[in-house]
Amino acid sequence: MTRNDGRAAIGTLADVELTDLPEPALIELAKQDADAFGELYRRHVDRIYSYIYYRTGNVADAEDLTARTFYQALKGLPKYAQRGAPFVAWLYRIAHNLVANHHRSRSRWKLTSLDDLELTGKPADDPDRAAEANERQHALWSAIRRQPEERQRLLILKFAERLSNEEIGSAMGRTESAIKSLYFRTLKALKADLEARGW
Amino acid sequence: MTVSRIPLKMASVAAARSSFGRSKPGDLLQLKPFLNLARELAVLLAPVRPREAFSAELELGLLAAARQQNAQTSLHAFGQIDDGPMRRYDGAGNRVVIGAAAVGSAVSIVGLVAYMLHRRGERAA
Repeated sequence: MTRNDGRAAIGTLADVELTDLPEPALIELAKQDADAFGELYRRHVDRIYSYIYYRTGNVADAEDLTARTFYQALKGLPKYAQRGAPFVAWLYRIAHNLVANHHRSRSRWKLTSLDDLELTGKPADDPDRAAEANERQHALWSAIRRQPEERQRLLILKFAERLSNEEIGSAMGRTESAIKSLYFRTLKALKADLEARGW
Repeated sequence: MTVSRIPLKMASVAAARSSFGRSKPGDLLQLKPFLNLARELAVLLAPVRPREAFSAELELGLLAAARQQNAQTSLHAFGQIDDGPMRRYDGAGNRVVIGAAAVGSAVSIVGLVAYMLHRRGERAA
């Protein structure tokens, strides 16, 4: 997509494909150019949606909060200053705050039912094996939900978002080594929790 | 449920393995349950994508809002240049009013104190 409003201040970028622009340049352009913001949106919407989906557990809330995240980002973009952290880390922080407010406004930390959450995995040929796999996933999901909020965040960022420890650190305001340590503690706690329940 | 799943990449499991750092061959037996757990987590928490209709609709809304915001920013910038002297005048006017109010308050307090001292002197006499 090319920009099409011909603004003089950014005229040198007139012929550049927005999809080819490196993120820092795109962010600066997006402060004045709607199409550039559209490109930023397209680059990150899937990740933000996936994060919110696993934090809320349902499509309706995920869509509502994803929309709010991007509208808030648009509003805050003129004041956004690049300080080395990736742009998506800023989006995750906005999404995180909105999810936290969402749970607070409902006065409860919703334990998402696995009936609401579509599970992955191919259907097994053997119904017994399928039932067993389903039961394991239920148990694992419940164990995740019993973990403290920051551990849940970490697991979603690592597995649903496929972020590196460094990227997770940026999103959660921690160092890479702190994330590694938290990740190991989280796996240990999950394993202990599951074993205690005869997993 | 209308979400679509992205095919699972084993990269996350490799990342999970690297998160434990370098380990001796003897430690692998201890790590195996954690690696299995990480593998199951990667399956359970596979990335999801929003509905295409939702993404497209949101993009249109955001583009319209971005254009409106940019237009308002431009108008505001123009307005600042135009009414700058008036704002400076308003600022100076505010400072005069606040100063006058402060002087007025001080005069009242001094007058009150003088009156009380005067009354006290009369009573003593």
